[in-house]
This record gives sequence, C-alpha cells and structure tokens, in this order.
Amino acid sequence: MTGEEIKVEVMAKSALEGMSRTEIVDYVIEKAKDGAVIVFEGQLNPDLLTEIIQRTMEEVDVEEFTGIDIYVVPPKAKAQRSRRSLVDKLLGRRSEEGVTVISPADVLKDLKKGEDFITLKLG
Amino acid sequence: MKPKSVIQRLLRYFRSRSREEVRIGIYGAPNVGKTTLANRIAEDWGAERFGEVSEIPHETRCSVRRRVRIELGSSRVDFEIVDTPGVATKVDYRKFLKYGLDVREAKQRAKEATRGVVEAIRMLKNIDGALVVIDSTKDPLTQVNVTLIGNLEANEIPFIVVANKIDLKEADPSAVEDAFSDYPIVKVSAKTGENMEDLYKAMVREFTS
Ligand SMILES: Nc1nc2c(ncn2[C@@H]2O[C@H](COP(=O)(O)OP(=O)(O)OP(=O)(O)O)[C@@H](O)[C@H]2O)c(=O)[nH]1
Ligand SMILES: [Mg+2]
Repeated sequence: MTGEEIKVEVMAKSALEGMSRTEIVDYVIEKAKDGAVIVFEGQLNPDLLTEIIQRTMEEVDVEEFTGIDIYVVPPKAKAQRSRRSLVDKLLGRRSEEGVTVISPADVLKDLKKGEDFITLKLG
Repeated sequence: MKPKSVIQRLLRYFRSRSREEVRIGIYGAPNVGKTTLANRIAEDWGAERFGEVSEIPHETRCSVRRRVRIELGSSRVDFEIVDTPGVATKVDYRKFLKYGLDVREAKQRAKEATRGVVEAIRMLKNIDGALVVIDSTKDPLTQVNVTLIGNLEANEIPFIVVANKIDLKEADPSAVEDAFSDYPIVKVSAKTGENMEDLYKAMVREFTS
C-alpha cells in the first residue's frame, strides 16, 4: 500500500443480506487486500468475524498485506443504558444496528472513537 | 435453539466423552500472559512447563498441550490444558525489528504467527472450555476479545475471563470486570501467582458438570 489514495466503500444492510457467508468473507478480504476501507451498516456476528480473522491470517503475505483492523460503533441508545448492553452490542446480538468498519491494517490513523461515532482519518 | 447448535453440542459432548480429560484452551491476544499463566498452572500442579515467555508478541506460534490434574477438597479433575498462539487481526514483521530481530527472523516469525492464529481459531471447535486471558493494563473491549467471547458464547462453550497482570500498578481489572460483567471472571497475576486459587476454584466449578 502506498497510501496516496484510499477507497472507502459504504454498504447498506441490504447489500449484505443478499450475500452468503463465504461471499461476505471473500468480499471483505478482497477489498482489504485492495487497500479499501469498508463501512457496513449493522454488525457482523461473532462466527463470521472469526472466519474473517482466520481468512485474513491465511492471506497475510508479510510484504504486501499485513491484515486488517476492525472497529465497531454500537448504537447510542443501548450503549448508554449500561456497560452490559454495550457488550451485547459489540457482540452483535442485534446485528441490524450499529456500524462496522473494516480497513487494511494501520491505514486509519488518529482514529477517534466515541460512544456513537468514529472519526476516520485516512492516509 | 437452532438445529445446528444442537448437533454441535452433541458432537462436542461425544467428543469430550471419548476423552478422559476436560480440554481447556487458553485464548487471548498476543502478549497478554497466556503462556505465563499456563506455566504457572503447570508448576502448581506438577506438570511439565508449556513453553517460553517473551515480551515480543507471537512468542507462542504452535499450541502446546499438557495434562494437568487439579485437586481441590474432594474434587479431582483431569484437564488437558492447551496454550494457544495469540489471536490477532494483523501481523506486521516490521514491528518485530524493534526487539532486535533481523529482517529474516522477523519475517519468519510473522509467517509462523499467522499460521498460529489460524491454528488457534481452528482449535476453538475442539475444546470443552476456555480461559480468555485479558491484559488488565489495556482497554478490554478490543475486537479480538469481543470476537473470541462472542464466538465461545454463540457455540455454548463455557469460559472464564482471566484479568491478568494485576500486579502492575497501571492495571485496571475493574474495567475488565465492567466490560464482561455477564461472565465468570477472575483477577490474577500469572507472574506472581496472586489469586491463582480463585482461578482453580472457578475452573472446577465452570468446567465440570
Ligand atoms: N507484570 C506481569 N507481567 C506478565 C504477567 N503475565 C505475563 N507477563 C509478561 O507479559 C509478557 C508476555 O507474556 P507471555 O506469557 O509470553 O504472553 P502470551 O499471551 O503467551 O503471548 P503470545 O504467546 O505471544 O501470544 C512477558 O513479558 C511476561 O513476562 C503478569 O501477571 N504480570
Ligand atoms: Mg504464549
């Protein structure tokens, strides 16, 4: 990655709904290797995230692709109620809510994470 | 309950019945103290050491198993403890250079580290329980911790959250407790041995039925 230009793909919930597990994993890996940042509406369930981490590690080639970063913004209303429901959110029990960002490793610098937002600084 | 999960539970049940020991995986991010904890358990119960400990992440790159018999009061449990490689979403060999490794060694370590993560994740399907080790000096709500715990929970594998390194003054075990308040948790120092008795009690309680 040279870092001059970073693509950001924003995906609506409906885009994921039409895809199988394998298709989602393939898609995420392909985009990350391509240097793109993906922003999903909603959260991925833990089994799918585990599969993404496993596939990422299979694809890491030491020189070009070093892996990914994953960030999750839980929805605000629930996050405020208690820490416990914050974990519920992070675990993706309500996969229809929140936002997930997957980027190639170390591409997002000065990342600021709040209760209900992430500031992404590219480059 | 989903049919898939019933089948998985049955499979796990029969697999564990065919083993004499209760198989427990020690899981967590790199460098949180998994091997230090495993070695401590081995030392306390007369088993062979698991492996080397290092400040350089991804020291463990292949899982290591040891049989450990824990006896507390009238209970006696035979465990097979598995020390697994640290789980990460990225591995960059350049990060190893600052620890004095040369480029060739660093690249080799990175390559082995990625295979180690894959091995650790595959092993998740083959354990009866897990210790999820968290470094109490760091933010507990990392994606690796959340994913591991979410995965264990989704697959109905019992686990204990182990807040480690409480001997350090910057440790904040209550943050780990707050983040994972739904789950059994013990706060220990694998290095000094503090509160290990609590862990053994929790293991006997949570991993036997
Ligand atoms: N102060 C303190 N340091 C600890 C403790 N446990 C482990 N460490 C230190 O943390 C570093 C990493 O320990 P390891 O046991 O190698 O960690 P690990 O989780 O097995 O790491 P990987 O094998 O790389 O995944 C070493 O420098 C240990 O000495 C603890 O309870 N207290
Ligand atoms: Mg280790």
